[in-house]
Amino acid sequence: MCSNTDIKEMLPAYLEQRLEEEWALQVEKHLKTCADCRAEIKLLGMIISEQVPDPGEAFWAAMPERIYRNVQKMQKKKRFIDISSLWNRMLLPRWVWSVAAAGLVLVVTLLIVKPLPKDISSITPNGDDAAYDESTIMDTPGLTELSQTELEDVSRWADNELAALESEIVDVLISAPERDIHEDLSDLNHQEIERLSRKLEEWEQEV
Amino acid sequence: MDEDLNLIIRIENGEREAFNELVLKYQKPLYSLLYRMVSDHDDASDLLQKTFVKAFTGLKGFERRSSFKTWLYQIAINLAKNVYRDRSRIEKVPIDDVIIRRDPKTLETLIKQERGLLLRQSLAKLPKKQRLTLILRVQEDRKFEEIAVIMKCSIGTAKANYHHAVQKLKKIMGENQ
Repeated sequence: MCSNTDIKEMLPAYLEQRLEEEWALQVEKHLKTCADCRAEIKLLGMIISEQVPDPGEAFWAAMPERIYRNVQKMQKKKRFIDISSLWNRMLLPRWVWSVAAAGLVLVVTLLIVKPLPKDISSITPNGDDAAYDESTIMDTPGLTELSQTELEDVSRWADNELAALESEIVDVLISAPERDIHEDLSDLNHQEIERLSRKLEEWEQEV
Repeated sequence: MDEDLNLIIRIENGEREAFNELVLKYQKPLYSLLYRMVSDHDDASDLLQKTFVKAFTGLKGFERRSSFKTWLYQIAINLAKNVYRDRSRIEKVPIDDVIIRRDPKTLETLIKQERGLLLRQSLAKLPKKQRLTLILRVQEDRKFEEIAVIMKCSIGTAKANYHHAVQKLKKIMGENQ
């Protein structure tokens, strides 16, 4: 195999007679002695002479118009894609909508299970059945600030409340001695326990 | 200013005439290149249109580092590669059938046609890069510098691909003759 790459590179140009005379003579000289390059030039000659069929004048004449129409079609399509991608960019991603929907369901569920009080005054102690917690007690005025009538109301309420508790405890002790009294007492808050213990002391003294 | 760049500027300004001029200038050489790559008129014609459409819709992407022609060839070769990839199904028609169908007149014509078919079959057996390099170098008369730009490789690689292609082709043709 011939390793003269300079000559090999010149072979296509030699075949097409584009080499300067000086170089062409060198190639000719080399070809006389090199069978490998002769085979190569024969092969290249075949490749070069391999004809491409001409599709005809009508084909060539129609081509610019055909390409122009296709370009316009592509540009329209591209513009449409640009607009739709802009619109897609403006819309929030699907996961944001999912999170928002889940949040909304959660809020609605919470509101159904535990509705907000319509009026803040409705959670202040008012009568025997009033529900309240420590925070509402903290917000209530001190006993010294109450008028005589109000004090009597509070006292009456406390008596009723504790009487109800007392009877409940007695019932529990009588009807279900196996129940743990500590469990029931654990439901009471600090002030209720204090009141209960005071009441029990009074009751003990009376007894 | 480069003639092609001037035409491109006119096209960008909406001049339809410049568009036609640029297509007319390159359609034939580009078709020849594509035909040699895919060996089929319909595919070559389709690829020719796709190449121009891709070039004209992507003119903003033409960085003008190479010539417009080289850029056009790059697009054409990349598009043809996709067709070429699916082309392991080379038409395998018995040589006798082909010769009879083509209505041979003389013994010389017969030999010529047989050689042509043998050459096409041998070219089809070459690895893709080697075949493309050989077509660009021999049939399209491109310099190795240009081939390197078109094929996106070094000049050394382009030269190596060319030499390997020639050697393999010689071997294949030798075995078949």
